[in-house]
Amino acid sequence: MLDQRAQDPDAELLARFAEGDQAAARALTERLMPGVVRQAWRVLGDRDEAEDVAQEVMLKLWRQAGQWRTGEAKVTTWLYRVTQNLCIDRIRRRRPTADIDDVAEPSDGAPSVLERLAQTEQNRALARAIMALPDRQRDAIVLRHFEGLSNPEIGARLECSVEAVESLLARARRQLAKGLRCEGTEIGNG
Amino acid sequence: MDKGGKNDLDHLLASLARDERAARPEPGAALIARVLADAADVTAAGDRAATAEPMRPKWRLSWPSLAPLAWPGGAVATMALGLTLGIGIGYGYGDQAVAMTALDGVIAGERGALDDPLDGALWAEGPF
Repeated sequence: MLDQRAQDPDAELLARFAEGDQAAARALTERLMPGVVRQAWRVLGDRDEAEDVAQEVMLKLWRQAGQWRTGEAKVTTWLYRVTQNLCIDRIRRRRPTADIDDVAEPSDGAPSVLERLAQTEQNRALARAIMALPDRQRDAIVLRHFEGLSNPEIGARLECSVEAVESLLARARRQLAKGLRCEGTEIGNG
Repeated sequence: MDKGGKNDLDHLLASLARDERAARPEPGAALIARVLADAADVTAAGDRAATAEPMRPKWRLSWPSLAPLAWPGGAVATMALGLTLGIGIGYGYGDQAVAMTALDGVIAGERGALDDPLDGALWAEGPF
């Protein structure tokens, strides 16, 4: 149990919180909240909604703390899943008839968060290509290039092997290159 | 995709990631305060639930689970208790209390004025 907590310092903090340690709650909040807010913002495109979701996610975590089974999953993996689910619920409430597959690509053609914040036309084209990726490939690209996670860390988050992550990234890159060519943005052969 | 193409794509991804980092929201102090307040509320609710559990009065006769009776010693102890109780009532052991705790099957308490022929551990505290 001690070794497992050492491999997941968040689990160690969560166990201390479950025993009433509010300093552990603060440490967990500072460690985990930024990632949760970013993830929710990327999906929802709205800062206020992202913050609401983040607060809801952390409340669920506090309530779960006493029952957390160390070693079964990382805290960050659980947070990622719960955040994603809550974001999807919000989007469903916005557009109740929308298909869940439309989460990444709004059916009304509105630009995604990534596209809106891109500073150049080339970046906007890349943003559109990223949003057109299948969900798992997009998740892998975002976690790798926007969150800076290693392949093992991505595997833990997506609950798949490192080999699966490498395969997702390779396929995603091929799709992105193809998508950019369709947009008229050639990847140079340098 | 050749190596050059891969590098160019990584370049583009790094450039878009920089744009994203410049625009991404960070949790503000108000949000962090709300989350920590939630944590404190959850802890307080847990503490209240733990301290609100009622204490079982010692004198209450609680029906034991049948498990101890399945144990031969428990059956013997139960019969002996009944016999002693009958004797005790007959000899006016009114001040003695009898109770049997359910789960541990241990009965202890004060002896009566007379030595009782059976093990005095069969008597227990509490009003009779």
